[in-house]
Amino acid sequence: MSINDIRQLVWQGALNVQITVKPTLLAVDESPKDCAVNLRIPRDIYLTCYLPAIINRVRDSLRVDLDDEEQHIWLEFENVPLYWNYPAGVLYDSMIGLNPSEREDKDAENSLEVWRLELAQGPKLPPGVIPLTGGLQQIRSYLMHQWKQACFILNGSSKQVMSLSMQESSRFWESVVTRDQENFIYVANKVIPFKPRFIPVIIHQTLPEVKLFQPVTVHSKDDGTRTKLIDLIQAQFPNLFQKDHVTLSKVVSNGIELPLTEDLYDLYNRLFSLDGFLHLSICLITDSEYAEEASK
Amino acid sequence: MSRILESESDNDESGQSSLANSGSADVANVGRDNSSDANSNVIQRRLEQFSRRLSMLGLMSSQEIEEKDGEEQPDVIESQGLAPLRQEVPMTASLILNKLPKATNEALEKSQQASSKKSHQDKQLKVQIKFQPIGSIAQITPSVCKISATQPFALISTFLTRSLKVSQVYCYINNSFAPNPQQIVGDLWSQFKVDNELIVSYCGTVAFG
Amino acid sequence: MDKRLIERLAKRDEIEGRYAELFQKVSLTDQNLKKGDASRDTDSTRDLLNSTIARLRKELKDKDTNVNRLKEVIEVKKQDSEKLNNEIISLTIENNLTSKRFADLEEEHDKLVKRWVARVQQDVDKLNAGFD
Repeated sequence: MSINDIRQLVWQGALNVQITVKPTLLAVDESPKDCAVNLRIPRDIYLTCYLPAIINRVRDSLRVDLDDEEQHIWLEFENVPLYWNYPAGVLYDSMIGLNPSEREDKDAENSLEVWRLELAQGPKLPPGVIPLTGGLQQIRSYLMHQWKQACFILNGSSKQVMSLSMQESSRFWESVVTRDQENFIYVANKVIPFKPRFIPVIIHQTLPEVKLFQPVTVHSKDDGTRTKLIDLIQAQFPNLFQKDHVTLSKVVSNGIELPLTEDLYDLYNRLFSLDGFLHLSICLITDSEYAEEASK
Repeated sequence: MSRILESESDNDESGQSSLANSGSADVANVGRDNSSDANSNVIQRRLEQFSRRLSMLGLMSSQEIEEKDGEEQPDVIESQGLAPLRQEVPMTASLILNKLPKATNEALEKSQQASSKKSHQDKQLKVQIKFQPIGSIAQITPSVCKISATQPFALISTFLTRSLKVSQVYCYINNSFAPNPQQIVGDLWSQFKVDNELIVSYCGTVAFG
Repeated sequence: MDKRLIERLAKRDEIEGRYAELFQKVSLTDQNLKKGDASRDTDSTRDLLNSTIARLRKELKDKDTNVNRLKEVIEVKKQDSEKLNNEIISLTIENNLTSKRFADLEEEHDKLVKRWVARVQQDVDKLNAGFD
């Protein structure tokens, strides 16, 4: 039982994803079901990395040319365009409003978890989606900049990432693409200090509206004690997490509920995503669960 | 009554002339390739759209520069009609809203009120940005600007490309990293400010890979 | 805490891993990510078909843009005809009003003429009486 076991589970987590094509893009007599692509996609990678694989599988059933450079391609979930620049697992947890314990209650031997996405194409990207023109190279550069940002938050400068040798940084990217955790951890360990200045956290709120927060999160408070998850979340959502109250919501990361009283940097060290940030989703609990909690 | 008459007499001439025009155009186009007609129609429509947009822009530009008087007062980067990014809530997740306990609804309402109050303040709240050119790209004047804290970082890049009249600008914070364009400027500012200024260096080519 | 996290992650994997065999794992370094999928086959008829499909898709795209353009044209024409209809209506109203005014004036004019004729008749009668 160690940090490494958890990191490994985080790294190996994967989702069943079914991608269909928008009916308007299909050739005559093709049904969306027939050209659905079923992929097992790691939680800790950008969905967009899989676009070429998806495109290759549906290409022959389309009435449009997906290689057309005047057109943009993106993925949608229930007609909401997805931002490709967050890890797949984070998008899944926040976009479906995942409540892990509720899911466990419903779970049965023969139940199937599948995330249904739609492939869309158009002359204009939906607002907010970052244009993707440089393929995997652009994703790589985006990832490195996210790491530099995380490194800056942790250490007060991006030195640790900037001083990586060419070989190290390409090994780092390869580790993501080939899902080789050893090289990934090797570089991550160079960046993540024993005692950080601040902790890189991104909070995804879905309800009542989709919002992102990147709060300044100190490692230790003024009185010298270390920041706990509950401290961060209470400061950010004072109404949802009240002191001495039955909580109205949970914090979810990597598909699991996080214990609120844990030390935040310990959680970061175990659960950080491939971009060097700890992604948290806020999950509102439902009426029945609340009643259960309150009766305890 | 008299008003109707007046407006009619105003329109009268133009109405007749357009009648005559389109009539003759129709006659001319019968049995011929009517693509030119189609084109002119499309152009007409485009022009209408553009003029509408222009009139909107005209209104904006008058508000654009608020606090320019006095050299020490930094420029304000206005949103130029860009609303802060908003993603919709997917259907399945939004169904959860119907199943919430009363306490949560109350809490959400409270935080909504608080945030609407706060966002009102935030709109007034502007953060200071210092621009630093890297390499051969032009210096922007003044080099210190103010921007509303609720805007995404993308607005800064758009502002730079527009004011420098270049097609692309690469922006870096603290000479280190390029932030995610969706990130809120206020968040970046509070995390990376130096002497209450967010230092944005910009370059025409990739400076920090 | 580690134990708790591991248990939860394991439970997550159990749920999310069911039927995973139905979902294909794709390696991102695979040849099949390359554009055009060169490894598939080099058959010349296949190439020919592919190029035909590409050409037809291009044609289809042109047609689509044409359809959209024509839709816009129809839209503009519709607006034009609406404008003209409004014009016609307003002109008709104006016409009605003017006709009414014309009728009124004519009536007034007739009245005046009648009165004038009557007065002249009176004067003539007076004059005639003077002569007599």
